[in-house]
Amino acid sequence: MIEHYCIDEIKGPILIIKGGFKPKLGEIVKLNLKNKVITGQVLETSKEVTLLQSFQTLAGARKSDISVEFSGELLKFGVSEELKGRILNGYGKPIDNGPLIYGKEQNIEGRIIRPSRRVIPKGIIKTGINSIDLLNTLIKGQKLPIFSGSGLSHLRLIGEILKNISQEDMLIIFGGIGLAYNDYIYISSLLQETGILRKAIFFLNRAIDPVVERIILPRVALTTAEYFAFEKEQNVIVILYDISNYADGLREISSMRGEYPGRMGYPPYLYTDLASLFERSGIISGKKGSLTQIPVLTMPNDDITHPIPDLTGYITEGQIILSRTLDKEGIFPPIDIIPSLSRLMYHGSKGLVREDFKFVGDLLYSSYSKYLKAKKLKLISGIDSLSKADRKYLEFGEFFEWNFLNQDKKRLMEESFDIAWQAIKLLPDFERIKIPEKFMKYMN
Amino acid sequence: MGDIYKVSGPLVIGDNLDRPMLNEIVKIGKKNLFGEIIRIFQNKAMIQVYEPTEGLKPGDNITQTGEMFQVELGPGMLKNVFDGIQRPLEGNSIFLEHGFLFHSLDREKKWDFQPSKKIKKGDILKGGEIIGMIQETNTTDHKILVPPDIKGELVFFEKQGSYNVDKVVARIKTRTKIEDIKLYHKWPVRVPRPYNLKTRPEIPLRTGLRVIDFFFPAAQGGTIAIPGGFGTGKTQLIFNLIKWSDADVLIYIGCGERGNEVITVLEEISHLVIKGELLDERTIYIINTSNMPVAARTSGIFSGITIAEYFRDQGKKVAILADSITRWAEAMREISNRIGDFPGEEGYPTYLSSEIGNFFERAGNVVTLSGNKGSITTIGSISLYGSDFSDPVAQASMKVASCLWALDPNLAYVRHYPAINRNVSYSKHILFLRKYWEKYGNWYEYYHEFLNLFGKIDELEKLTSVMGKDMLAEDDQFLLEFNELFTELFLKQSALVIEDAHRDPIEQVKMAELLLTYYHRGKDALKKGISLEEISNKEIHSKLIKLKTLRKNKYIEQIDELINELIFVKKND
Repeated sequence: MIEHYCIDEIKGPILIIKGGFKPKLGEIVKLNLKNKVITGQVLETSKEVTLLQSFQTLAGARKSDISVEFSGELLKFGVSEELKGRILNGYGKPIDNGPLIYGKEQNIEGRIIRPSRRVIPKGIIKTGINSIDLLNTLIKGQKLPIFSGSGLSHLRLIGEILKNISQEDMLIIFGGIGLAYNDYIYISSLLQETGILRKAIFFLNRAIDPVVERIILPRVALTTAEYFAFEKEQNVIVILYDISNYADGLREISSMRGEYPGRMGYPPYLYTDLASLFERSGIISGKKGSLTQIPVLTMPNDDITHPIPDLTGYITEGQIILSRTLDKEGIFPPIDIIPSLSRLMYHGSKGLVREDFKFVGDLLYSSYSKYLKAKKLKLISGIDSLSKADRKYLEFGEFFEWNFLNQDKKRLMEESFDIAWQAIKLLPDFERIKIPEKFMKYMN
Repeated sequence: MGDIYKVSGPLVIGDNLDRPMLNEIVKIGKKNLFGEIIRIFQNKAMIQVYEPTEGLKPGDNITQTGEMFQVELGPGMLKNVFDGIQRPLEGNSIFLEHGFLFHSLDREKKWDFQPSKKIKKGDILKGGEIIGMIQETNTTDHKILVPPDIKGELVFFEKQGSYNVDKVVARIKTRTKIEDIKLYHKWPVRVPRPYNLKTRPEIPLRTGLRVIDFFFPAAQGGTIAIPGGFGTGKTQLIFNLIKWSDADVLIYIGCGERGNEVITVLEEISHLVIKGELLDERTIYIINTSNMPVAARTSGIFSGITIAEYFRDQGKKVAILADSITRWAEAMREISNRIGDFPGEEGYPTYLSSEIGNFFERAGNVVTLSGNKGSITTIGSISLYGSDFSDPVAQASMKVASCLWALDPNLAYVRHYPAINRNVSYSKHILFLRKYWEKYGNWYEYYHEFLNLFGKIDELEKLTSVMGKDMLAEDDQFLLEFNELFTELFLKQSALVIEDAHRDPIEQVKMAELLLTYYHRGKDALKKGISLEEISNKEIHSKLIKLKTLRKNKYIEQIDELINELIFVKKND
């Protein structure tokens, strides 16, 4: 391998070198600095100029200090059974003081699943959360994100979901992207206290770690997930938190590369890039495993039209949205069911749920939205302006929020149904006439 | 042979090319990746690559083909799944393979060719003329056409027989040479296929959805834009259209959408039986999921519309459904940004509007070159940025669309499907379609009456959101209660209540009649001093709601009965 001392420009993690080295797009390079060696990757390649990104910080490096070695290889990660129970960084290196892991090398970009080899996702993953299991059911092979806001109880919700899921036949892969110290501590203590780690693999990148690592992390995590789902045929769930940090990292690198900015400065390929992550989920015909994803993101300024939640919503199969209002009222989990949606819930749960599943869901949704209208009206013109029916909706809604949405422990599906029907009993006549004869038994 | 100068994302700059041509197809690198020249400058050319470019390096070979991107038009497309460059997507491997070596149409498969009895050796044939027929699937025949750009004397005509697509079935002597006519021909996707003339739309594209057929009907040959934010049910609506629109050939373009969604479409459609026929038999799928290479997303739309034109030229009614136009536009944006084009609105290329126009404007009712009637109806969904209609893709589509079915997140949130916002949506075809509806009763009259009521309802709803219902006059309260019923029985239509998922025009008109009758009689009764509770009561409502689960004959019978029955009389009379 030849070494080249030829750095032309350093811009944050981006290096530009001149001279006709003609490396491959995506090729791995070694950057030899005075006292350390760091890895990098080719981002752009031409007969004259090569653009590299460095995986570690270049702080303190002089142009003349750096020499580049081209490896001829694309970025790979070694997957193996040994990864279970381990904590690694975004590049897949252990950070838990355990031994190094040598596995089967896989290209981390992943390959594109042939659409016709996919199977429509089917099978329920029970999260133990009422408003997910009954109203926005998570289906095996689905990608269902959580849209949160800064300061909301999303980490507590993730913790609950992880605890409940770890009791099922599931391998958990957690990708922490750009974790602030507080989040990092929360996750570490969750691991220590619950014993989740026995059935999980954690990839963690902290806010102080390199930005490039944030871009690589989800790819390494998903490569691992694909190995367990499609080669080892297990049910795998991947939680990526926080996708907003990922997108910001992508923006940072894009602007360093001098690319044209798209919406709000994010690169114009943000949609395609996010899709290349989220689409790495599903079920494949002839394989027993499944790959489910829960990407979690914090919406800047709670704005759902911000490019990150907006584009995510177009790729994923629904979304779970947390509400600041409910959070302030002390309701946990503060899931705002109205804009939340699981696109695959009915198809994916066919034959696996009670007959009144869809009916209950639809009725709760439309009634809860009428409750919200009545509540607003009450605020504006007082309780006296409410009709008899509106008062009924109010009664229903309050019960629903405090008894259905709010929960302090894991709930089984059957329990969720019971509470739902208790709420339905409070509805006015116009709603109750919609109840088909065959479901009247649940009213008693 | 040329070579690679630079690789950046889906874009390659080619060097040392031999007189490169705009839109020329090239093969790149060892794997023969599929690329298209999109800019020429100095001695170099910008090439968009329709496959992942990872691993390519400067100096790798580029081979020119001397041809523009063309699709193969012939038997073997129906029931088949292709990607954006018409590469067959069916296969056994789990992951997609890449490269140039493929035929769009199966070369091995034999087809029963029936020569046309109307032509014989020595005839002068024009482009577009039908020379024979193949029964491609159980439901759909496939006419073999003289390619549109060929004209001359028929010097050889093959007999009936079983041939593969490569077989020369006719030879035509043109002014310059003798052309072989095979069972298929190629056509560049960027060039609209010629026709005789365009005609005005007259027949609706029926969807079975009341809110659409009744209030915002589309005509066959029309262009329909369906804008909506995420979760508003765009795909579900498109799905409904695939199921029920009465087209001879359906082309579904999954453009930059989800893999799981695509497989749902593929699996459901391939098993769906509509009016005794398997829907799959008349459907062609073009699929580019969001994680497939971005350049192929830009070509899928044009491959689709060209295939549609080919079936139109056979005298068929074609419906083409593109889900979604926004993903296509974003792919254009991605490429144009990489090229370094100066960006227009929201970073989209300045040619966005003309490209969208180029697609939609290829729809229409035509008299084909052979004198038959054919049509293409184009339906495109638009993924609005944050449900905002000022979105450049929506605006560009609205310029050319004859129908707009706007999906409203506030309706979708409360499970109101189809979530069509009746204030924003429009149809420019109402007058054209009036004649068609006449045979089903007073549609035009009811339509206007409802529009009138909508105006009042909207005003009242604004008012009640501030001061509650109890402050309103009794007849206004009645109108609002009527609106709830009308919403439940007419505007909402669940795809999951099988009996109600699809209603014929006659059922729609009948329901409208019933509702209006109820409204008028109720209003009169109020005037006579009958109380609101008596008119708008639980018993009547539940009778009406029960209609939903009735099938056609029973539905109409019950409606007629209710129309006779609904008479409000003062109790002390």
